[in-house]
Amino acid sequence: MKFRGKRQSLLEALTIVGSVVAPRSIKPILQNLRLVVDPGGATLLATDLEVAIRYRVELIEVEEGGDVLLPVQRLLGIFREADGEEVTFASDDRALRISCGKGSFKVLAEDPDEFPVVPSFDDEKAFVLDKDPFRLLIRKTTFATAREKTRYAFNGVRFEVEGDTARMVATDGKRMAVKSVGIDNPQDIKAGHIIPTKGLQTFDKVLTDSDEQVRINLEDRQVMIRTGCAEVSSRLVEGSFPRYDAVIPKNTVLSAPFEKQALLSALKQAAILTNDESRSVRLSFSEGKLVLTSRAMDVGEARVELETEIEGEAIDVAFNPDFLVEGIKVMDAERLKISVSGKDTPARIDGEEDFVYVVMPVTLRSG
Amino acid sequence: MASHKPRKIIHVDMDAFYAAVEQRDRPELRGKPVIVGGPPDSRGVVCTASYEARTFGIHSAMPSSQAYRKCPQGIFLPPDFPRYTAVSKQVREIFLSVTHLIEPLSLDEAYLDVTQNTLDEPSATRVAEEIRRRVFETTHLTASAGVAPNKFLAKVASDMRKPDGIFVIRPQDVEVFVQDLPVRKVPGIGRVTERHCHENGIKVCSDFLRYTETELAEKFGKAGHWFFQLARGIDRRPVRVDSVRKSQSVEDTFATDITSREDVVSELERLVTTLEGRLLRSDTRGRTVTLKVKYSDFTIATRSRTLELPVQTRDAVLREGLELLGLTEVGQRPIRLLGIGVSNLVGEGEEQQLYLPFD
Repeated sequence: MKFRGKRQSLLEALTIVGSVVAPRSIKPILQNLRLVVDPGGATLLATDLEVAIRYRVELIEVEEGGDVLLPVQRLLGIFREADGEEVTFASDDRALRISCGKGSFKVLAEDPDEFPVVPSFDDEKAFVLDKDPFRLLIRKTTFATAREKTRYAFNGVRFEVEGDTARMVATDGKRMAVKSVGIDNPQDIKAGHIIPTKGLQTFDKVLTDSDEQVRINLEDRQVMIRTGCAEVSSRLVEGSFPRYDAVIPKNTVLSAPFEKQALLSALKQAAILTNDESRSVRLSFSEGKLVLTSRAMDVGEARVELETEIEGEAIDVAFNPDFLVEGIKVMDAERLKISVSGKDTPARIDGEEDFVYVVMPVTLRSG
Repeated sequence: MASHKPRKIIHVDMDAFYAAVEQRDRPELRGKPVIVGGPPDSRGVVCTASYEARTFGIHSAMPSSQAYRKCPQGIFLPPDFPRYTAVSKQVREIFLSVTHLIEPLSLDEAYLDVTQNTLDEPSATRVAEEIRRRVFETTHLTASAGVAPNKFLAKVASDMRKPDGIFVIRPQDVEVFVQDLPVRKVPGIGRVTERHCHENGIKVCSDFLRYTETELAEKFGKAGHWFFQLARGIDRRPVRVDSVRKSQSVEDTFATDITSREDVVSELERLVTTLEGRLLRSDTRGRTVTLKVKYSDFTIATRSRTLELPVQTRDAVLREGLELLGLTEVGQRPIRLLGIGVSNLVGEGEEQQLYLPFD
């Protein structure tokens, strides 16, 4: 194997491919990426057995192709720290010699035969979506999935395709984001799958600006996408997603409009005086205004007032401010509306078209 | 800091609390075997059995299915914690009218240090009687009380004259009382430790006196020091105000080491059932599940996992426990002890993030 490439484009590729590699894997071999070089360029492959990626990089010159396994973290280190615009790779017995700027490195390589098979994209069953709406779906929902292990369905996002609508729904059980987009669906594809958070995050990374469209292939156990430079597959989450539409409140007792930025700012201010024991901000809606208050023992308290025209009855309800901020932040709207259905029932925030965000309040547990 | 004047500790224990609340509020249940807990066709457990039900051999933490077999005519009711908590608060108010040194153990029992009390009553016995009187007057429920110079003895004492009774161990009676106390009555001594004691010729607490502290520590580990103390009627633990339980756990040492994974799993199922009972009784749930395994060579492995949603029920805890079991060498190495617990508890009075009402 012998080739030359641009350090910057190799670093970008490695960063994306490296994000698939699990930091601590039960199988040490998975800490590697597989580098396959052919006359047309290089393919980087990695998998954590849940998400797998093939990423194509152009090279300046290929003298000799090859196929090796290399440790991702070391490689990333080299490409980040070394200077110089060009990198040269050359096989040296069981190692690979990498020269970059003033540095020269010899990295021991492993046998690629041991590496698990990284699936390749099957074009026949694929359908096509415009990249931008697909990326919107991912970015408006993925943040709401559970970060810790919980009900399996909460560690992924439900992806639905029905008629001319594609939808993603994500929840961690405490808040939920639902985003829909219109699509052309000439093949009348139907889907209702749960894609793990990491899979979607990887999808998002490979949806580059240069692509207009993304090809998607949904199978029983995995979903795969193809863009200009990458193929990413993700195992699907087994299990059923809860009936999300049932928890979107339809009848609310109060609604109030806000400027998005003003509300975000007020929430962030009130959140300063909270702590782990007292994480909530109280929202007191009354005639003409919303008062946000927080109080944390041994820390202090905050009070922020916002003008608004409430519709409905005055009410006090408390929330984890992070949940409100995270949902409001992704909304593409200047104005939005909070609707409350009660002190211990879901509230909803509307603003952006085809997007609804639902949050459960915080209460004092009382007997 | 330790004063040499004897303390006056009361352990108040509501009689068959949950069942008694149900019988109080629904007269048609009075005199009947009432079992509060999981339904008989579930894998749930008994939280509380009324005294009528206890005559059938039903006790708390017993699987509901087993309780049903013992007493098919029993009236099984799901626990109504908001109601029990409300009553518990009334009782707490009564305690507070006497002293601020209160350590609640659960909704239905608490330690009180009445060495100083607002009644200015030097007799702890009279304080205990007054508390029992006020509890009955306010709630129409009976409580039993144990009065003693420390928590260990107060707790043992409250069990002596149940229900609706009081038992007093005066400082000068401690030595005699402890002498004949069967080891099984000691809080913390379970089936296996009891057998271990019997094997060493220890049937009652005075038998501990035959051994030095070092010998007891050799035989029983850390607990040996505790046994040495309690055989002398000594327990210096203070009544801890606002002591919030940080975790809830159960463990068991086996009479013979267990190697087969299936046997370990069935032990785990049994432990989790007990744990569920405790969580239900204290109305708490926890976000961290921890599994503890002691191998035959006494090395200990603990494995834990923190969850997004707090767990309380048997099935949820068991699911995590089984996964954690997979991270140990259970099945390959013999084990002598198995334990499971939940921590990161979320309980009464705390700020609580609510969950979306999914099915």
